[in-house]
Amino acid sequence: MIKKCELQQHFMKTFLIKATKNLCMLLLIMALIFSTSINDVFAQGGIVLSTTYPGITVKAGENVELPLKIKNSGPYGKSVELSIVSIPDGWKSSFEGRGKTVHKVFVDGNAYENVHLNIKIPSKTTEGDYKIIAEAKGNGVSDRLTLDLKVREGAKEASKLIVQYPELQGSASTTFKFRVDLTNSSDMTQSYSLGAKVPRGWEVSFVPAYSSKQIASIGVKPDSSEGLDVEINPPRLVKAGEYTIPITATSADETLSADLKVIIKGTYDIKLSTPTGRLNAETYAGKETKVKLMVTNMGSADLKDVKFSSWEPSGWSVKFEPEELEVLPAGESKEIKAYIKPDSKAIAGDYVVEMRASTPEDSSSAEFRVMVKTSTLWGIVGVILIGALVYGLYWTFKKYGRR
Amino acid sequence: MNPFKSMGIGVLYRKEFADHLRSRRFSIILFLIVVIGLSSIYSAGYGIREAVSQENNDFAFLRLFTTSGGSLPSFVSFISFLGPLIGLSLGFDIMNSERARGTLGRLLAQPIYRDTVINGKFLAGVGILSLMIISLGLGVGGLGIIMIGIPPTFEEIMRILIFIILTVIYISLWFAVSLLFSLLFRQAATSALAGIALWLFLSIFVGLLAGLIADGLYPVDDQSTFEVAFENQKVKQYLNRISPSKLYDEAIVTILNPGVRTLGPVFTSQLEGAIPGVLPLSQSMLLIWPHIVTMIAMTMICFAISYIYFMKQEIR
Repeated sequence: MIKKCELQQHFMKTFLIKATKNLCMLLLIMALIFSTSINDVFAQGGIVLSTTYPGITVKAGENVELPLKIKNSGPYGKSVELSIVSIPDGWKSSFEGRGKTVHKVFVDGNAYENVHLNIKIPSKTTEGDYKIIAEAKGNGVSDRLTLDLKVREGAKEASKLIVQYPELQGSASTTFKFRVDLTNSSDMTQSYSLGAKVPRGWEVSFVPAYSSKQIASIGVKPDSSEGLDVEINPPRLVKAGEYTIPITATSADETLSADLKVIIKGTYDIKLSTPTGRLNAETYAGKETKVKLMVTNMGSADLKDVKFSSWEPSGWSVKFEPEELEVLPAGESKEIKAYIKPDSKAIAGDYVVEMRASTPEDSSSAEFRVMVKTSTLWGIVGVILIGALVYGLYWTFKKYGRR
Repeated sequence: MNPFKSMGIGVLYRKEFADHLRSRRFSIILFLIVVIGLSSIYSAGYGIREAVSQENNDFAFLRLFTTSGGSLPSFVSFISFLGPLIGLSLGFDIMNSERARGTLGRLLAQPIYRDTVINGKFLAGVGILSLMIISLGLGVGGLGIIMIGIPPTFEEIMRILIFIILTVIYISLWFAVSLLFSLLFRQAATSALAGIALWLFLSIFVGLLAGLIADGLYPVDDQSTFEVAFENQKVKQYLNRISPSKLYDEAIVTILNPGVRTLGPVFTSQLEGAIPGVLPLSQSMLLIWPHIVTMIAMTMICFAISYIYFMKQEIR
């Protein structure tokens, strides 16, 4: 019995030892299990709020849209509340998801959702570093994201005056049409008064696209643009060359400017006339007469090798002095002489003589009315003849009279 | 001794002038030319009224004299044709009738020189036909203003004045011719016939004769060159100009039509580049100056011959 008891005791002992051992093992296992399960519990609350570029440089007045990524590392989905913990004064922010303003996001287990954080930076913001702290909170777990924003003045989004083709080429008689887009990037409607700085004699007009009215100012809605045609008429006697014409659009807040470049090609225009404008001459048959001519360069480029020619009736001759001009500067005129000699058989009255000044580029002609007069020589001979006859009669009277 | 300062010439001039005015012949001639002149101007005026309103009215007044209206010839062609007749009819018997009546010897018995007689008679004749022509010219001019309602410009007045002077010279020439004939022929009828014969010859036959001679020298047919035709025309014109009628015609055409730039044939080369236009009066005058000189010379030569002949004549 005792033995049995002892055995039983021994049995109990070993069992206890075993049990303890087992318990220890169990506890160990349990602890192991529990430790993992505790880890699991921690992981279940894991929310990560992140963004690709947590530090950005922005401009005052800009709207910044930051993509945020909310990651749920737990096995179960959970609802995450989004909020801004800290934001500089006057700044406005909102979360947006798929076009809607949101403040809660449900994130599946082991998944992530994208939200956008819209930040509106006031235009009066001074340069500096600013911090925004966003928080994601859900089921007792939370994560914070600190955004570093550097506001830099130079980076400010400005209204624009954009010229489609800023350089145009043409002649002095061309109307240059520049297409200009005026973009208002400010947050309110702006009225821009338009102006251009041109040399004397130039004409500039602003015409809205698809209209023919000449305007002096134009209103542009925020974040929109208006098309304008800038029409530039150079003076007729403008010299060939490049001209830069600055145009400006001035509103209460800002001054926009653009440079337009006009390239005037030289035009060739020659004109032949006389200093007095009279195109007639008088001479006797066979007698040379001098006519003063005025050749003018009406173009904007120098004329080279100006030659003079003429059409005259057969038997006539027309000579020029000088016979040609090497160069005639733009806008200048020069006097030349023409010697017209009618045919000695020309009959009295008006004849036409055409004179022409020509260069390879242009030519001009002047029609002269030349009046040929009869020489008074024979008239004088006639008078002498009558005088002789009168004397003859007188002689007759004297010889035969008074009988 | 001054041959021009003749005693008694004034008396003789006045007497001759008065005789002419009172003569029936003068009345008939005056009536004739006034009727013809006024009627030709009147008919021309009707024709010109439409022409003036349609075309440019440059020298419309002058055209009144040169335009032939309806059935009547123009005023200038009337004067050109009948002018010689006026001169001839005034002078054909101026000397020989006195001689036939025997009054010439009586006249010369007066204390006047012999040359005073011929000078006085010639001057009186010229005076009377000047009076006739000038009054006729003014009369038709006045009628013309009434007819077309356009007053003449200064140049037109000058041209008409020259036309009148030319006409006086022309008719004086014929008067001088008839004076010569009245000395040459004792019979008034012979003198008149001789005058009319010369008039017809110079007015009509010279033109025919000139054509004959020119064609003989430079025959013109289909094959003839331009030069030959030109020479033919030139010879014809020069021969024609022997006749004072032709000279007078050319002169008045030029003076009354400012558009006339040349007389006689011209080469086309001369017309190259020519603008149709009018000549100023001075140029027109220069163009016909030889004609005027020739007519004055002819008149003076005729008178000089008459003078010499008369002075050398024996008068009983």
